[in-house]
Order: sequence, then structure tokens, then C-alpha cells
Amino acid sequence: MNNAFEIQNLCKSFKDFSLNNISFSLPMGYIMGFVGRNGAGKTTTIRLILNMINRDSGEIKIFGLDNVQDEQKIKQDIAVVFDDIYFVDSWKVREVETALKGFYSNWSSKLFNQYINSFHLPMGKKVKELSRGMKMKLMLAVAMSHEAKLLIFDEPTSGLDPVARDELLGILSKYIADGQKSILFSTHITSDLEKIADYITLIDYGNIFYSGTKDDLLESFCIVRGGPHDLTDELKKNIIGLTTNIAGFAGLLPTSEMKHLAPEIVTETPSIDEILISISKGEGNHE
Amino acid sequence: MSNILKSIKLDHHIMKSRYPMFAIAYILGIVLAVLSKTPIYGALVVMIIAAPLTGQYFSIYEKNNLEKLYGVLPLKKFEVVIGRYLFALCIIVINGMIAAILAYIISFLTNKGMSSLEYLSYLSGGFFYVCLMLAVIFPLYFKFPFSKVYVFSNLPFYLVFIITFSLTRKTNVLKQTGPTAQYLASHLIIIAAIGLGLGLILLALSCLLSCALLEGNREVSLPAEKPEKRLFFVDNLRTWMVTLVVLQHLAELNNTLYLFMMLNSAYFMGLLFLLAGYFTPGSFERKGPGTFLKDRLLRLGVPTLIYAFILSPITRISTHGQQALAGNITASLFALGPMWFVVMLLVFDLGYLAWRMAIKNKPERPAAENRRRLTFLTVALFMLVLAAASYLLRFVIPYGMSILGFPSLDYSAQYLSFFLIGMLAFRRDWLRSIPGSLGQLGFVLAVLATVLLFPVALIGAGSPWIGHGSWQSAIFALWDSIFAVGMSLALVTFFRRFLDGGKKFGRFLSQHSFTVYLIHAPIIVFLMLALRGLQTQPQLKFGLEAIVGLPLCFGIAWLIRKIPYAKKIL
Repeated sequence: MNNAFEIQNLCKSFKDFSLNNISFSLPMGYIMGFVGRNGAGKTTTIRLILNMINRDSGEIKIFGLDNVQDEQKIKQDIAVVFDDIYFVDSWKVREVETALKGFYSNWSSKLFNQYINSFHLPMGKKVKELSRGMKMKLMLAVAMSHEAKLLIFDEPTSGLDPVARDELLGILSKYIADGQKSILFSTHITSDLEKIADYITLIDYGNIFYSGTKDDLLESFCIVRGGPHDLTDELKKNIIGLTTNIAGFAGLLPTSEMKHLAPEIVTETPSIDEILISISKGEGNHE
Repeated sequence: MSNILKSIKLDHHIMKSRYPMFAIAYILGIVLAVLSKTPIYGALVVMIIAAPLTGQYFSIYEKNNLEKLYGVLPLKKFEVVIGRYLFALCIIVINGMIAAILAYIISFLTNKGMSSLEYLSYLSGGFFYVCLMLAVIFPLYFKFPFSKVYVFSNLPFYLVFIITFSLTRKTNVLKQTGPTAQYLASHLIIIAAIGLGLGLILLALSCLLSCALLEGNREVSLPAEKPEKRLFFVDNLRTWMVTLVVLQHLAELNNTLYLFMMLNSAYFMGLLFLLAGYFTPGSFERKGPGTFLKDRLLRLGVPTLIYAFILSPITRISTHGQQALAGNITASLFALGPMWFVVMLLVFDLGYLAWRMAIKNKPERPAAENRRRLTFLTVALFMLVLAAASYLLRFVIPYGMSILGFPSLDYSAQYLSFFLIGMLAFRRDWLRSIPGSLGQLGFVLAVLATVLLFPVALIGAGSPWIGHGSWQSAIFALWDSIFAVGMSLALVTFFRRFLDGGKKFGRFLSQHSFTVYLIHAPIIVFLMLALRGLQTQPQLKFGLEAIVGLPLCFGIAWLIRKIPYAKKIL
């Protein structure tokens, strides 16, 4: 299977944070949710993918090419939507196209105009006059007008209302329909991913906790709840992000450990949010 | 190239909203032109004010998160930097042209004409000043946030301009200076050419510096990744330094290429001491004190004796004939010649041995445990300290004074410190780990110092020669310290990047370089004697002797090393 990107043993250290030997990949034609709390290392990973910062060690291949050696070639086929707009605020919407179209060999003005019309963006309005949702749509229009094969989203939905978020997810589903495009969707709002992601990569404190299909993730873990007397030492060891109170306990348990459970203990399928919260709480409990 | 053009276009789009700000420059320029009744001053003011306005680009960059935009676009970092400088150059040229036309119109209307040559020299002066401003300011903008350095970086230039402007308004400064400046004052076309040329050189160097800053400490596959690998680039660098020694002596014998000789002597022996220092601790560790001492005496002491008592008399007699035996025979016949380096190195090595004995032979810590990166701040501080030490030393030993056969003792602060730095470089593994960007920075600083400081140190009516505490001596010390450190950094990183091969030919040259150092003096003297009948330009003769002499030196070195036991010494 061809990969849109492949990260191997990537390391990057800062004074107060480090990305520790992370590896994961995204097959072509799929959407990957890149999940972790604020400061987990999502943006650092994206900046490393884009070669905006230098890695300490490791390898990043995009469409099979090295992201540093073949940076220009790769970036013709990559588009990024950040959490905030990165165009000059005095530019009008039409000037954004004038300024950027020359950089991409696949740029289609027709496509750009189509997206601008369908997103109801006024051509004559300045970037600074657009609402947050409109700014996100403008970045999206630019990203999709050069037929990028890999779309990277860095927290694009933070600050968007639910209607705008739903609209975005609809657009993305359409965009990857031909099976030739992939999306890396970094977010901490995991409900968005439940709807569209095929793969999930969970990152916490610079370490990859899980990377694989969404279904496998949801099947690999279960939420367990029980009374105070049901919590054995063996169970304590295996539960990730254990919380206890007078009424009992709750936490995340790998499904492989389910067979040893007492019948009184209740199990439920977790949401990505619950997994994220549990691994954040259980830092040190897992690798 | 097309990407650089695209980058310039993008800069134009980004700056469009700030173009009306240039009107301020024009209004001020026109007002000043009319009030001063010297329209060309108005044009200069327009240029001086308009140039830093190009720095507004960085303000927009910071305010609008354009770092992200450039992170996404298919552009290389150096294309962005070159594009930015070319864009600024376009702004300078366009504003300069418009301002000159306006000045011409005003002078026509007010009947205050000037010859076109005078116009051109003023404009080129303005161009140089603006380029100097941008050359200093732009790297700061690339390195630091615009909002933090804007005022601090621009203010000195405006103050200098105002002071210079008021001084030149009252008096003709050029006419009160030395003959060189007066010559320039009467040949305005030369001033114009110097202004334009230097301006462009400064911008090009600044561009290189900004590229290095933007690249930062980019990790490349350095030999640092392969600690067991032999440092072939150091061998190759040593070969190159020895080649430079031969060329230097050829230039001296032909009495030509003075600039080449001055630039060379500012750094090349220092760098040889650094390389020698780098290998000293390793050699001591491998051999132990006794064998180390024996080895040094054998490899450094014996060749010195051979040179002083065999090669030097032969050279002296063949060049001076009977005269060589007249007067003080010891001094004239048994000279140290180029072996002063070997003697000084032997002294340093013996000093190192004594120190190791004093600290009871405590072993060197391996580089891996002791790696601390060399930073620009450390380098800059070292340059200043070395400059101060050289300046003080030249109170006693002025530049060019030979003492006991040591021709450049005024550089001994550099030699000793470079030898010590070589040892530090071994401990901290600097030769493998110093970032390439530091080498680029070093090169830019070396060139900048040569353009700005070197001429200042050498001009000045009736100035004493470098030394005795003169101000020229201080400038010269600052220049040669910056130049030596900068060139050393540049050459180490350049050879590491491009000349790290261990090919057979390179290894052959490196194995024979010390022998070449020992024997080159008589060889080039004989070569010069053989070619004395050739009547041609000294530079041409130098070239010819270099082409013949260098292979000859290596060839004879190869033959000498074939002599039994010679390899034990050489």
C-alpha cells in the first residue's frame, strides 16, 4: 500500500519538551485523526513534516520522498490549514489568489472561484474583515485549488461553531472521495474524528500511544466501571487512567485483559475523548 | 531563478499596503531640497528614509503569521532570503532614480545646478550608505523579532547620517584629509564606482549571512555521526595550508602579491597551530609521556636540525655565493627559515607535556562526554580578546619585526591561543560538530572586516607602522583577529562539507605535506635561480613557479620518504 507519509524514529528536543522517537504512517486515500491534548506534540510534528523546524534525528517521507531533500517537489502537493489565517490581513480575497497562484503548477483559478462561490466568500472583502469561519474556508479554498494530495489540518476547528465544523467535515469527505488524496487532521476536538477518520494516532507528552485504524482503537480498549471491592491489585496495574471515589472506580482497560474481569464490573465501548482523557491521566501507566 | 522571481513578486504583494509610506520620504526630501538650496541632499534623504521602510516587510511578516505561509509554500529558505534582498535593492534603485529626477527638476527650477558627475558621486554615496544600513539591519530582522530590534537597529544609522550631513554641510571634509582622499575628491567617477561596488558587495555578504542565520543549526550528516571515521578533511586542510606556505614564500621571493601575503599571514600559520593542537592530546594519550617526548624530539627536533645545518647553508650559499660566508656566519648560514613554526610547536608540545605531568597525567575526557557546542557569542568574545592581546603584544613587538629567526612573533598570541583552541576542539569534538552556519558567519565576518577595517588600518597620512600602540595598530589587531577566526571557521566547515574524501591522491598529498614544509625553501630558491633569465611580470613568474614548484616539492618529498627510516621522522 502506498503511504501519503511515513514517519520513522523522529526526535526533536526543546528546552522543556521533546518528541521521543515517534513513528507512524498514513496510507494514501484515508483520513487520519492526530489526537492529543494541547502541548502533546501535534504542532511540532506538523512543523517537522513541513520542514519548518529542523529535526534532531529520524526520517520523514512524503509520497515516498524525503521531506528535506525534495521539499519543493513535495510542497507542490501539500496544503495546510492552520488554526489561524496566515495571509496578509490587508489582502482582499481575490488578492490572495493573485499572490499565491504562481507558486503551484497545478493551480486552478476556476476551482478557486468555484470554492469561493460555494463558500459564499466575498471577493472584494479584506482578510481582516472575514469571520473566523470564513477565514478557515479561505484557507481551505487555497488548499484545495492546487489539488493537493495531502491536506494537513492543524486544529482547524478550534473556535468554530458546530455548524461550521459540520460543514467542514462535509467538504473534506467530498475532497477525498477519489481515493487519491489523504488528510492528516490534528485536533483535540475528537467528536469531529468519530465521524470522518479512518485512522487515529494518539500522542501524549511527545510519545505515540496508539497509531492504527479507528475501529481497532475502539475495539482494543473498553471503559470499565465497578464498585470499590471489585478493584483488585491486578486490575489496578492494567487500568489506564484509573479514577476512584466512594462509589467505585472507572478507567480504560485493554480488551485483552477483559477475560480476567469479575462479572460485576461493567464494560462499555469508549469514545476517542474518553481514551484521550484516560491516557492523559494515566501518564506513566503506559509506554 | 524563477522561484527567486516568485519570491520577489510575493514580497511586492506583501508590501503593497505600505507603499504610501514612501510619500513621507519624498515630502521630507523635497522640503529639505528647497530649504537647503542643495537639491541633491533631498534625494539623499529620500534614499536614506525609504530604504529602512523596506524593513516594514518584517513587521507585516510578524503581524500576519507569515512564517506559516512560507512554511507551506514550495520555496527554499535561501530563495526567500535572496528574493528579499533583491526586492530591497529594487526599492533602493527605484526610489534613488525617482529622487534623482526630482532633485534635477528642483535644481533646474531653483537654478542650483550641479554637474552630472557630482550628482552620480552623491547618489552612489547614498547608495553605499543605504546598502550598509540594510546589510546590518536585515540579518537582525531575520534572526530576531522585528518589534524588538527595529528602533535599536535603525537609530544609529540615522544619527550617523545627521552628524555626517551637518559636518559636510559646513566644511569640505574630503579636502581636509590625506592625499588618497584628496585624489578621490578630484576623481568623482572613482567615488561613484567604489560606492556602487561596495554597496553591492555589502548586500551580497549580508545576504549570505542571513541565509546562514535562517538555516540556523540545521543538522546535516556530519562526520559527527560517525565518530570512528578518520577526519580526512583535516588532512586535506593541512595539505592546503602547507601549499599556501609554499605560495607565500614564492610570492616573497618574487616580491609580488603583497595583499595575498598580508591576508595569508593573518591566519594560515595560526590555523596550522590549531590543527597541530587538535592532534596533540590524542597523540599523548596513545603514546604516554615518555614516547610522546621521544616522538616530538624525533619528528620536530631532528628535521629542524637537518634544516638549520644542511638545507639552510645550501640555500644561502646558492643564493648569495661567497657573500654568505662574510660577516656573522652563524646568523646567515644556519637560519631557522620556515622551521620557526616547528620550533615553536615543539615548545608548545613540551609545555603541554609539562602541564600533563603537573596534573599527574589525568586522562583527557572522551569527546562524547564532554561535547559542548561552540556558539557565536563565544567566538565573538574570543575575537575581541585576541584582538586586545595582539594589540598589547605589538607595543613590544611591532608587525613584521623578526626576532631570533622568528619572523612573526607579533602573532604569537594568535599562535598560542589557536594551539590551545585546537586542544579544546579535540576535547569537545568541535571539528566534527561546529555548525556549517558558523562557518558561513565566519566567512562573512572575515570579508566584512577586510572591507571595512583593513583599509582603515593601512591608510592615514604619516601613520606609524602597525604597533607601538597607534590607533591603526588597534584597528589592524581587530581586523586580523576577526579575519583569522572567521577564515579558520570557514575553512574547517568548507573542507568538512566538500573535501572530506579519503581518496588515494589526497592521502598521498597529506602524507607528504610535512616533508614539503621542511624542504620547500631550497627547492623554490633553486627553481627561482633556474628561471632568473626569464624576463616577465613578477605575477606571471610567480604563477609559473607555482605550477612547476608545487609538484616538484611533492615529488622530491616522495623520493625523500623512500629513504630507509625517513618515514620514522617525516
